[in-house]
Amino acid sequence: MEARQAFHAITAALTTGMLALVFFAVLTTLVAAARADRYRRLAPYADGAATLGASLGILFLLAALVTGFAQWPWEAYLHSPIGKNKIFTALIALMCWAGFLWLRWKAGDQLWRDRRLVTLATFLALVGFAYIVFTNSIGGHIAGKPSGFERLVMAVGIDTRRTFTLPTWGSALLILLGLAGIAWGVLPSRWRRPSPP
Amino acid sequence: MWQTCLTGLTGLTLVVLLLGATAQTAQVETQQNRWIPEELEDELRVKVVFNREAIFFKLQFTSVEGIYHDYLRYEGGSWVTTRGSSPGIHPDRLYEDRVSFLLDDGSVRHFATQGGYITIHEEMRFLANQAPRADVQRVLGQDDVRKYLPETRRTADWRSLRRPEELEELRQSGVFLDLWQWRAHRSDPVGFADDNWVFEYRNADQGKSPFADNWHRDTQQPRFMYDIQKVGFQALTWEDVANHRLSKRDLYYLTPEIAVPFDPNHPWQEGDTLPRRLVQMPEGSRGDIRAHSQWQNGVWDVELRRALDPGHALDDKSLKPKRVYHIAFAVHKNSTGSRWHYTSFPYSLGLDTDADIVAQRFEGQAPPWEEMPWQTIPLFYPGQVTWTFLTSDAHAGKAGIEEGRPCASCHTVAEMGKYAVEHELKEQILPRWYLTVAGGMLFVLGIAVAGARLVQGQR
Repeated sequence: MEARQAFHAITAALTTGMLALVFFAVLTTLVAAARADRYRRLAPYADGAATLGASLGILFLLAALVTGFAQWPWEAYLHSPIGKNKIFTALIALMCWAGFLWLRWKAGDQLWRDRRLVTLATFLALVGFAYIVFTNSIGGHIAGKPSGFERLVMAVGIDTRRTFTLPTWGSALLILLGLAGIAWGVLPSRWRRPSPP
Repeated sequence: MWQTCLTGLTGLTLVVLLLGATAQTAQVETQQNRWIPEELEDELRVKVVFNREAIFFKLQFTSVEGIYHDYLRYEGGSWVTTRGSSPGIHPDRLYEDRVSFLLDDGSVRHFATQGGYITIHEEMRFLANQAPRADVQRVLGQDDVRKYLPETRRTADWRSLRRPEELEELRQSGVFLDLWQWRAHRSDPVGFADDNWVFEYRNADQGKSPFADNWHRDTQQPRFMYDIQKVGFQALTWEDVANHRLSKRDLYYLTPEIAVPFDPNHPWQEGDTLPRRLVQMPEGSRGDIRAHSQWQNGVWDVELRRALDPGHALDDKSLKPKRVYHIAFAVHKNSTGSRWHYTSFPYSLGLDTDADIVAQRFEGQAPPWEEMPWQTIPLFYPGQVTWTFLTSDAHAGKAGIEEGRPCASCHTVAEMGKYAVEHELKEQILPRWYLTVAGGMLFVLGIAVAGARLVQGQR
């Protein structure tokens, strides 16, 4: 049991460290790319660090998920509000960083030149990092070492001791929007637009 | 560039916050014995002292004046009974307040760390999966399954009752919990608390009960009514009872001293009302606990007194100076009965020795209450969390229980009530959680993939 806890603590720390680095690299890229002076030269290096860091961060995050699931029986997670919330925040963080990487992979260098893409990438990095911090905070509580961050979260009305759920219509809307986004993004153009005669 | 980024970020954040704001926990269901109180936490204030002969508890809790309990009403030419124990708040708000505690001397396994949870099991009375009455009658000879100790069963199933000789051996060795129950209607008017014990069932101590039934099942009529010669009336009025117009100083109860046999030929009027319980002086072991109470400005002040050694070793836990015992409290208030109470974590109780609650020794007869500070005991709504669940793989703290770690080492009082509600509504919450996880993941992925497509379109 102690070995499992130790492995999870190690992978969670590696994830947090790596993704914190990525988050700051994204901010650096964002600022550097927007400048016209010599600092602009920082942008490609920061972009490289963000891309590599996000790739490693996702691997660590997957490892943290695997070691995390090994802590308790699955049944115990489903009966624990805080356990379910931790799974939820970890998976949202994973999706944010996966989305960030997908965006970077598809857009290449152009990512930092298109305003809409910069907005989206920054948003994904910001939310992804926030959710990682949130996940760690919940983990700290479970391990008996609660952090002050959770108090901040609870102060804005989010109760981590109750399972995070949306009303069914809210979840259905998100699923539809998500599927529509994925479909629009991956389906070939000819499926979306009629061919000219 | 910056303005666009800022606008976009603000827009996306607003979408997330808007969805977050609509997040909710499942609605409370009143069916299947599910009813959840608005307040999940409460508190009880306690003082304990003892002298050479007796131990004294002073207990204080807030409540409306919950002195009403079970009445018989004359309606349409016949007598009808008000509903007894029911899920949540009694429909007519006719359910007495109670303060009770379980007491042990270390004989019962896990009580010191887990408290009253060890007595709660699947299919008990008023749980969502309450056992069918016929099953219980066949196995236990009772109408429902009530509190019992795990030691009295061979497995986690209440049906697996141990053989009588095994049970007797356990009881002789002191494996039972002493249960003190002060009842605002069914024991307080005669100056007593009810004395019970928990073993293979929630049992009453030997002797005469502090209350009896004032309902004759055969004739479907009351057995007693008020003695007009002594109190000036033969019945209460439903108006007064239903609107809680009586106070602790009034005769909201019926005792043998002010009762006469029921007269069916009396010209009973619509709304005439009689208490369904005849409150009487308990005798034997059942009458070990003396009580005195006051209700003032929304606060009950209850004083209990019992001999350190009442001399009933098979019903009561005798207490000795310098020893440590274990105690867990419960309060029933706001016209709720059965499992709709507030409970506490277990505490150690030391008689003139170090413990969570220290009972101080005094000389003389009157306890020096003014010299004693109150000790606040936080209470929480326990929901339908059972011992079966707590010791199963579904509870992450199962190993901790086996290692002897108290529930308070993992959970705060504030968490207990919330977790109890989550546990109670798990069938509603879980499908919604799966949907929320799927929705959140797909939404995030969807906007990223769609964003990438935007770039390809530009190329």
